[in-house]
Amino acid sequence: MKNIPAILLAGMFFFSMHGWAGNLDLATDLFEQGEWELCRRECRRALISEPRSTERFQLLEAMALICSGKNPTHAIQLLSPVIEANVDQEVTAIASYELGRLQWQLNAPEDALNSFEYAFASTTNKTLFLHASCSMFQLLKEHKTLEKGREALISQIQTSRSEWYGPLFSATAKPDPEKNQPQAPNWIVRFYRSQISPAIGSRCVLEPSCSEYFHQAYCKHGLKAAPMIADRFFREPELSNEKKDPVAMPSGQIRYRDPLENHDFWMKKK
Amino acid sequence: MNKFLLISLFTAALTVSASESTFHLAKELLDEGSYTLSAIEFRRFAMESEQRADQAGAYLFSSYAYLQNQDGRSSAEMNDRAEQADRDSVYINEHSLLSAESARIQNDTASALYFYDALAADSESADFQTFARRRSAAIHLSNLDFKAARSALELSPSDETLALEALETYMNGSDKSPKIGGLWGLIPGAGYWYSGEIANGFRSLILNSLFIYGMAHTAEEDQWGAFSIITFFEITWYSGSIYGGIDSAQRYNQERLHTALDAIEGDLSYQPKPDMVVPVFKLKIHF
Repeated sequence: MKNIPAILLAGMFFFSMHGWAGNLDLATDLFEQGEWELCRRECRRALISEPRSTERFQLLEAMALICSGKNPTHAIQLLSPVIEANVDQEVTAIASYELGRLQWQLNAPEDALNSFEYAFASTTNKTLFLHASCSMFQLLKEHKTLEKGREALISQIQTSRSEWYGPLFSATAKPDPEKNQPQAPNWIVRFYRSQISPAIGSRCVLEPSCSEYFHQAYCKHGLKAAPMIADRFFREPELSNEKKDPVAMPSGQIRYRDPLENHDFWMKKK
Repeated sequence: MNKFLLISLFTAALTVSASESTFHLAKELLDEGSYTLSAIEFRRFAMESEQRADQAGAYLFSSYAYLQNQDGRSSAEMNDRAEQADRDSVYINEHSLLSAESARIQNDTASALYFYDALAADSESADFQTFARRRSAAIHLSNLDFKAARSALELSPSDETLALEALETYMNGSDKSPKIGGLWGLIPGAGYWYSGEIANGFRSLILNSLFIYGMAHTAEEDQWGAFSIITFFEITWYSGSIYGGIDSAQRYNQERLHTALDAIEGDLSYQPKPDMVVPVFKLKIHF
């Protein structure tokens, strides 16, 4: 009976290891599904509760952060210790490649080249090898000055050139954080929102508002947005009595749901 | 030896307790409508569980939660995992129903029909059969295959008089032609009137008339700057009138179809039986 505290401690340790630890398989699944935020949460849970295999979770969290297009500096902070720890050569190579992409994005080409070079030299994975070599090729093409004194590296890159394929070039092109961002409203919407709307107040009784509807229609269908917004003005529910799907707004105002999908379900996307 | 036994028992009890906590958390999240979080907790439970039966149940719960979130792809993936874990084929009906529903959400009507038909044929439960037949009839109706829709309803074990009446009403009615609506739209407002939207039509007519008058007046007065601005807006109103003629006809047809579908499907829903304990998955159908 005197060993009961030790038994309890052993049990608690087991409990903490297996009961609440984040799950690498689950985190990987979520990453593959494109659920970046949930993947990050799973990695964070693991990093708090699981002191082992930290670097895999850190790498996955950093990659999820990169894919979500948020805060590259924080992603660098996550990747750096993984590379420094160098526990698993393949994990370090992936981390180094991802770090290189971030450094390239943040306009640090020399650091990026060194990171790609490390990934290129240390990986045993063919896909990563090709990605690293193609990235270096494109980086050197963009920054010719970096070629000086790196003849050996360039000749090594050239040896893998025959295996590069079309999509590899776009996958390894300079990261553009703006690419996946939602399109900014065009000048008509910006002008209306900055100059007209503040003067006349929020008058639209439809949800989304007419300016938002026009923006969505313009992004999706281009110039067809003009007749679509005109049609919407004709369908003003205050006059036509078509008060369907009321929605209470946070301000207390009642609006009527009229999403773009209700009016373009029969149209082909641009 | 006793110490080892005591440690084993204690750790086993704690593991079960931790897994149960994960499962209960997942169910609570499901009940409060946090479907994605709930699906993930069910997945965690399944991945941590050693028992295949537990894994099958938890993956089915996860599939159900994803369905509630309209995520057909993840739901189908979880359902496949459940099927792999369900070696004893305890959940045949549940697999068919969830497969059909996830295919329906992904607009894969051929697969959805296949699974609904399989569910109707394999299930001994009248509730499952009725559910499958009604859903099947609704899909056939959406594909405008009236004969198949009627035969699906006739095969249903429940009384489908109202649904058959709705189907007849839909078949006897007629759709508005978007092309004719567009042509009527050349006369401002007439496109809307064609589909029965009288007030919208008048609004279109008034706005177009005002701007056409403005165009004529400014042209008469040789005010070409004002004429250009008014013409720009009038082109927008006029194109809106034509577009409105087409769109209102499309909306009219869609609403007619939805009225018939609502009558056929009614308040069809399903949810895990609330009295289920860890981690058995059984569905209860509601009409």
